[in-house]
Amino acid sequence: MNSLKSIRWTLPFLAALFALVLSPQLAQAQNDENAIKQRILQRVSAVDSLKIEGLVGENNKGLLEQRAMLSPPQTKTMNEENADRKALYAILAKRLGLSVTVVGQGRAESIRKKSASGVWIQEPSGKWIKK
Amino acid sequence: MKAFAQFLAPRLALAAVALALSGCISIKTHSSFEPIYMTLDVNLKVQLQQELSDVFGDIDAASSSLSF
Repeated sequence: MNSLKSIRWTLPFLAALFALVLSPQLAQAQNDENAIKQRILQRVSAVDSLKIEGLVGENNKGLLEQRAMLSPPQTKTMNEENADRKALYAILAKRLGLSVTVVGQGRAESIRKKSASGVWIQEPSGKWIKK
Repeated sequence: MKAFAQFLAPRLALAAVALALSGCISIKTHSSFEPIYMTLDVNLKVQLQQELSDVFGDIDAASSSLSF
């Protein structure tokens, strides 16, 4: 009887503790993900220009890679885009229980399939081709 | 000498039998788990592509360097 009573009090306590400890973390992770996605969205046209001009390409790790001489602002755009992509891949990797590398490679595969013609893409073998 | 032979002979015989038997034991190491791992890999890949599609859907839709 006593044990039933203690379970009645313990379970809600554990649930509350779980909510208190994990909810902010989950909410923070979701906020981080949304913030990263927003930054990537704001940068889409700048990154598109770099890709269409052939200055950067999509490598086989899901990241941008320099293919020609870049100005400092263009280098900054590429680096910021890569930093955000890496952060997003890390969030996805944690969620799916995979490595960041595998997530990046999965994204690279998706980009390779969808890329418009004229964009530099790196094949899984490492060879660069213009699609 | 006789006592020694009486003591040692059965033990030697027993050891010989044990050795002979252990030499006859074969352990098959062929694994039948490969299809399970393959299925798991395919499932993970599908799950990853689905998740990537969910996360990057808006971004890809806004991009002009990606065609659908």
